[in-house]
Amino acid sequence: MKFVKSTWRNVVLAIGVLIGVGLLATLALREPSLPDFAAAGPVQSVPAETMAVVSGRDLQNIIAGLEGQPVVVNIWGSWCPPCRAEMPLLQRVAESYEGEAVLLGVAVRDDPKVAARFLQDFAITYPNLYDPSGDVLRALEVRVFPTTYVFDANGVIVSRVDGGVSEQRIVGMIEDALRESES
Amino acid sequence: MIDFGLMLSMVAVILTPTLMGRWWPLRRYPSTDPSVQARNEETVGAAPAPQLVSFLDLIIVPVLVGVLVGRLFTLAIEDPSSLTAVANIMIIRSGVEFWPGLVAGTATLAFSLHREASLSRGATSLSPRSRSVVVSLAATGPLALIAYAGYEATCVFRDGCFGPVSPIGLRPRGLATTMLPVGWLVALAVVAVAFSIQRRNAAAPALSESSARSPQAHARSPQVHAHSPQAQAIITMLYGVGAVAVIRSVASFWLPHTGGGVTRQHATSIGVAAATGIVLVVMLMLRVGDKATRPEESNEA
Repeated sequence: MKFVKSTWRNVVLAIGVLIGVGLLATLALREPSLPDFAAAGPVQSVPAETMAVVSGRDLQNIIAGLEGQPVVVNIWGSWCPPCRAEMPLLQRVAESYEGEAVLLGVAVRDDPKVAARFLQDFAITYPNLYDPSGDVLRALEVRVFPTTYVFDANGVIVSRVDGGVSEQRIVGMIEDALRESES
Repeated sequence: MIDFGLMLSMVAVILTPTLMGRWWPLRRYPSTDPSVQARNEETVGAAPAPQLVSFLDLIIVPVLVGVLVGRLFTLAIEDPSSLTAVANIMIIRSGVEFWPGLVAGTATLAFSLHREASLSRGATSLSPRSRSVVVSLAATGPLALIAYAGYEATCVFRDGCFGPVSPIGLRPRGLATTMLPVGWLVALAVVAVAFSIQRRNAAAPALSESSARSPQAHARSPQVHAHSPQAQAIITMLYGVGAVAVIRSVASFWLPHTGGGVTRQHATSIGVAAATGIVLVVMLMLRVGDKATRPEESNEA
């Protein structure tokens, strides 16, 4: 009787673990949906001024001006710990792919002075813009901070990462976009 | 944002050694020394039967300490000003230095084994023949490696299994190309190392239950027996650490990274591999030296 009880307990435990693992696996393997956002409109160059104010439309125009090379857009806020954590990596990526791909940061829901100081703290040299209205957030359907998008050489979004991005992933995405643009 | 992939990896780290422990059980051995038994009220008169030990109970605190120390090292190197912000420390996805974490986790495990032995007045050990903490640590090696392999194998759920572009392999989420899953290769290699260490442990007198009952069993493992139990354990641990360092070094070449040079983690792994290799060679040379002097000793006797 004791043996039967213990066997049943093990079976229930095993089923519970399998269901839990299956649920976690399904959630972990979800592909994030890509927003309906692409380079468009009159070509606009990247503003030379740090933290230049942009809208969603402006960002489309800027990306249109960068066509011919992959563009990485990172949505961040100085108040967001994962954004802070990935800043040194993004700077390394920008330096590493200079001339091959462009990295653009967009600060949102932030005080522009605090955000500018934040960039100075990390010695960020790649261009960063500022979205005070939340228009870029809505256009790019940002759900979490930070979010990183990769646009291919034609200005079409090919991938996004919700939350902090790893070195392997961001390099993998850029290399993938570079390969696609070469082929 | 909840990182479900990392959660699943943590489940794998717990489940894989727990399941493997059914084939490679860890046992806690009460001392057979009457003087130790006499000092310990709990074991007086009790038969010195070994008890099964839960690997999970042993490693849960060392793993947490290892992850925390590894994360603190990353922050100290990349963004020291974040060290005072708990929220920044918690984002372990942003990087955990492997080797400092491993050292901290091993030290914590050694401390808890030492403390346990102290509390029971040296009455228990994970080895049938030695009360040494180092020997007990070596006994946990194979299951610890299995846990690490479980972590690497679940790369597919975490961030995607990256590697060199290959026609055969996996396509990480958001990418158009397939890549050779280096995480899976690392897991396979680490499992192979775990099996070889388990074989070595089974042959080592200090870690073999059969040899505890029958000291004559030493004769079956002449290579391992050339050293004291502590030296055997140190060699086993160096072999495991060195093998992992070599595996990680080779894997780092294949993983996508910024710049053309080696990454910090890669450079550290190469350094650890070289250091453990040198120490192992020295220890093996000393063993050769021991063997060379042994005939003279026997002649003198």
